[in-house]
Amino acid sequence: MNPVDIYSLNGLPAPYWFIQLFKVLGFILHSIPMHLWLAGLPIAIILLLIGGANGQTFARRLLKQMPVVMALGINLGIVPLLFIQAAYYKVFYPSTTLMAWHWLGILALVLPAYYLLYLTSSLVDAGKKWLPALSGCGASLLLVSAGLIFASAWTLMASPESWAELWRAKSIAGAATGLGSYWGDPVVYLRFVSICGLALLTVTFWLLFDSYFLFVEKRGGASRTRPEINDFMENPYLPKSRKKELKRLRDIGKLSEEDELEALEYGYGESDDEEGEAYQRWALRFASVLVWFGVCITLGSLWFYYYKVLDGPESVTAVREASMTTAPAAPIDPATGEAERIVPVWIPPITFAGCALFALTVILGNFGKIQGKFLVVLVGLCEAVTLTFFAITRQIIQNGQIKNYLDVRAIPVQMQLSPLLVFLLVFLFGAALIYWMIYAMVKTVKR
Amino acid sequence: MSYPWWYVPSLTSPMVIAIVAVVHVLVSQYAVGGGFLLARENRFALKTGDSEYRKYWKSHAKFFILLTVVFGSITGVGIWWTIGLASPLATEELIRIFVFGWAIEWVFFILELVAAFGFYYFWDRLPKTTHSAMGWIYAAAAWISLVLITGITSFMLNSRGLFGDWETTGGFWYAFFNRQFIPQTLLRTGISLLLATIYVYMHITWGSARDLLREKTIRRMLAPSVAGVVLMVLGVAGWLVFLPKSALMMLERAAVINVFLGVFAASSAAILLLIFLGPMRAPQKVSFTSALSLFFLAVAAIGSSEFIREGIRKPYVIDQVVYGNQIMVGQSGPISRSGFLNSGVWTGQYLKDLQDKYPRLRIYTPANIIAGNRSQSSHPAPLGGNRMNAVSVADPSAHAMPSVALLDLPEEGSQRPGNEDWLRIDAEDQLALGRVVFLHHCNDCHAAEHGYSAAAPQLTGKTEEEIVSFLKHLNRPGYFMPPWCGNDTEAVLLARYLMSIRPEMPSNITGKTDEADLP
Repeated sequence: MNPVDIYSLNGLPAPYWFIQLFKVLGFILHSIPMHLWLAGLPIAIILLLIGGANGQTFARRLLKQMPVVMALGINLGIVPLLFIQAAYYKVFYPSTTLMAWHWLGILALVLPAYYLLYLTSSLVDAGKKWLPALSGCGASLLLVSAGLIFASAWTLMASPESWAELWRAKSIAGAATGLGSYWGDPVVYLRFVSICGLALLTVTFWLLFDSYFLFVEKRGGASRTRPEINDFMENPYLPKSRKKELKRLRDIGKLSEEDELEALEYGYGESDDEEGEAYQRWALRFASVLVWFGVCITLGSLWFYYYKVLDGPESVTAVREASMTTAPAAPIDPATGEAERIVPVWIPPITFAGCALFALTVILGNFGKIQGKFLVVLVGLCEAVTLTFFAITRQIIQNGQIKNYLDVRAIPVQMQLSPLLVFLLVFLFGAALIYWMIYAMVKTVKR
Repeated sequence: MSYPWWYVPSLTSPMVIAIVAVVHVLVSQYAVGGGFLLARENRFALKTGDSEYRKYWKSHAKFFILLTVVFGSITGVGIWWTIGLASPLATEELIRIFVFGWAIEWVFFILELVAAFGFYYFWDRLPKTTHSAMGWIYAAAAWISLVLITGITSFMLNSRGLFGDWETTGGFWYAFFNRQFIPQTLLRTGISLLLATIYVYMHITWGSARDLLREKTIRRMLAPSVAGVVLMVLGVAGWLVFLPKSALMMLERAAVINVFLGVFAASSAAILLLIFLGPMRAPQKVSFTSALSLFFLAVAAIGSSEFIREGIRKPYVIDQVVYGNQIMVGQSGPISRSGFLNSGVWTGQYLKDLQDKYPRLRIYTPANIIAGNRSQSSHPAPLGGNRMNAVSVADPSAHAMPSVALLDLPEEGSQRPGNEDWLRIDAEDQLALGRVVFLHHCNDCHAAEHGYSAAAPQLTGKTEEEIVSFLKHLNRPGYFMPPWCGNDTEAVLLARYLMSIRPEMPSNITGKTDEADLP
């Protein structure tokens, strides 16, 4: 059985490259806010509960931004979904129908999560930390669940060989009940974990961008005065690592009076300008921790994904092949007689290089080799490159996986030129108008 | 026949669309009308220097954003996903025809979002002219997104174009500017304005606004209400004038549509009456309860209009393009000749699975049916080949397809696959096959035993021959069902299944009626 009906294909409304371009571009744009709620939200909750003063500042800022981030993320997700349906409808509709209730369940998870985020953002300055932390945790759990279902849906879409089995298990008289789920494929989890790794990199970028570009220094404010404290452990401005070091020295009786006094006064007596600088210093230190986690998780999961699952000799595809009814794992290259690689050889090194460059930039920033807004711009470029490579890779893998059933490139084009041109014009006009509105808002904030 | 059918017991999957649509429309129409009201009233407050009035509209903007940005956007995605599940073929066609319409609409969504957040979060911080401009950008973007989606949904009711027919030209603009476009745009704009004023009545009466502020706000809402009503009347008139003939016949013949039309008319009239008695005559007396009553009447009016919108298109889901049961117009003949079950990817697989039990059963897959059609019918292209503007992949092997044909083709000149053998298989399996036919051919509009428009209870008292005859001429009575797309054997299988699940004759009838009256 070929579950993909290729006998009733509609022509593509635009050239293949145009659809791919907007699908990939849409996915990149959608990724940024999606990463922020996936990884940024739990990090913000942890920092809110156990972080120092700067950590709490970041947590509060991110939690307040979260409803807007979420709204943007959902709306930016429309474009990749639209272009999937324009070109990949023959694989999109059957796979989502087989898991219809899970698919619709995403909406049931995202809707309360969205309202919980509004609640969190409104409670974050209310006093008690546990209330926003609780609602934030609820939102995070719901959003992670929705993310897992998405990972499962996209994996199922790219695995038509698994459809028949799922359909037989969850159908009545040949009609899908929509109760199917697709959790048995390790690709689901690798896909999700790789997104989580990338999400940490996006949070790293956002942390730096927010601290250097969006954090408003309250110039001319009064200096902070130190309350009566006798233990430097009570000083919220002292970094945790320093506290730990000083506590160790104190325990072994080697803490000098000078160091103790400095620790007691750390952060006090500074003006608000200095507070901004302290926040930026903290952001850079925290970013260099996050980036390691991000790079390790991304590279680890992608390495496993590329080599072990799709092409590797100890292929986990054995799990998948067991459920296949027809097509082989990869098309055969007529020239060599060997299975074609789904992941081209040049992709892993470039993706790995992008991640490494990202980490290197942040670390150089932490050592003071690159400074200020220039550093953030460089990190932003690294973020853009990493996300773009990932999105392109993801697309290549998707095309490779379904090529046995549907070769989207082979579908003839039935060009809709005039609406396409109108769309491009409206897109440019909209981008200009959005730029003007954001510019007006930023100008207001700065003023 | 490409996609698996989504079975929703009792309710039927299109009813899931209807439910999500009603919920979505209640919020999305407010997002349009409310945007206009916010921009208008903000400008008025700035012009008159009424800071209290402007403060009220800031609080309304918060309510507006919480409801429309969150709930509206997610239910909007929800309706899109639901139509993809319940009517994948129709959605595929709509996306193909209107992909750039939707893409343009998306640009306006993003504009709406940025403008709405800027408008609310920077309420007192932006320069007043910039703030006012953002309000109007939101209002314009929201209304344009309404216009764009109306061009798409109105095509589903009447595919004939204002400047030429899409069927012959195949162009996007011919489809977009269809004959229902202007009336439905007027109607939806009117509903948006009226609904938004009702939300304002509810919001202002719920809060603790001063009496004078409350009265002023309610009075200010009168003009948009009246404008909304006028637009709605014009829209409904145009909607009636440009209804396709099949839809007009539905209006006359289908009792349920008449009931919904009655609900729509009655609830609309009641809304008008309440607005006349309340906001117009005695704005100071408008309470939250009366505003809530208006809202529930609006729910009834919008709900019934959505059901009419869905129901009146029958037998099509997209006028003259796709039938309600996910068959392309023009395909019923070829499918019927090939056999309904043979023609679908998933129904074909069901047969193949059954073949393990009956190895001598003849099964024809889409691939060989297509080949058969090519040689024996006038349709030049594969199944789906006479789809308007469809593309045929002439050589499947060039399309990297490893293996499609599961069984050999029937020999040239041999009998078309009639599946007569199926009538000799176990009775239980016959009923199972009949159920497969039912779910894939009829379940779009009918539940089986119980539930929405259940089919079996409607066939009480009929003999098997009568049901078979009825099925074979499905599109004749009232012209609101699609043509029969199966062969004779499948009609018998379906009839036997329906007879097996239909209710017994009620005892009070059998007990008191003369034998001669019974069928």
